[in-house]
Amino acid sequence: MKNGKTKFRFFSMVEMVCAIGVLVLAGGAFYSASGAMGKYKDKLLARNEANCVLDNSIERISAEKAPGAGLAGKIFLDEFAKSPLSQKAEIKALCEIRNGFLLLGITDGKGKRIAELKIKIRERGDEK
Amino acid sequence: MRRQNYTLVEMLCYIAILAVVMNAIMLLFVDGSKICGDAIKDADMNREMFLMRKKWRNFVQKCGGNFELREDGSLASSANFAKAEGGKLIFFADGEKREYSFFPSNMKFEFKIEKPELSAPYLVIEVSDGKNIKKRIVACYEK
Repeated sequence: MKNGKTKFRFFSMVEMVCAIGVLVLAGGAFYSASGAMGKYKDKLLARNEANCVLDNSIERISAEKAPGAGLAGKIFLDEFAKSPLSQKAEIKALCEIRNGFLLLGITDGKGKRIAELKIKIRERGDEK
Repeated sequence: MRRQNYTLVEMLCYIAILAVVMNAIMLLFVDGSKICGDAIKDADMNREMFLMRKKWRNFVQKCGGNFELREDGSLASSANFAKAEGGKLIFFADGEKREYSFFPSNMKFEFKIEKPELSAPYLVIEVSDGKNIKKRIVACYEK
């Protein structure tokens, strides 16, 4: 108080910068945590869906009398195309023969397998 | 010595900043809890679908074949049938009726008979929330 007039003391630049910095850090931490949770949820859903695709493929392949690798692969790709996973551009179906096994897999955007299945199968079966 | 109180301008600034920060934090919390809630629902649904898969395939194996889709959307094979009522699935096979009502009531079920050229025919239950297909469970009857 000076001469009956109120003297305002404003925040200094350093105080403002510190306060804004702390707020930005706290906000960033919350935002990244929320984003990470969302990504984890998507990953979990994709994995479950991929397992479903593989399970349905096994059911259909097991109904065939003499399934060959070609037919099994076609069934798997058909099941993949009908699943909600096919709507996501980054998720891809993988079908290859390796060391006498048919490898059916589903990969994410980074090429990492989220679900896979190995079937001992003939390379040439009696296909319909 | 007189204690200096906060001025009205300072208090208003403080309250405004606090309101903005609290709003942002609450939004993030709500988003996070929504994600968690959705993940729990999906996990529950996956567990139920896992249990349902076995029961559906057992039902199809019991019926054997000659399936037809009725107008009411149910699936029938002679006296046996499977139908959906709300979030409930009913399987009737060999004189035994089983009801499964652990799905959320907004879930819709659709039975389909698919006869692709490339492979053996099969039956499908498609579970959707009315807009998007969430899951499909395949069961083959010609094994």
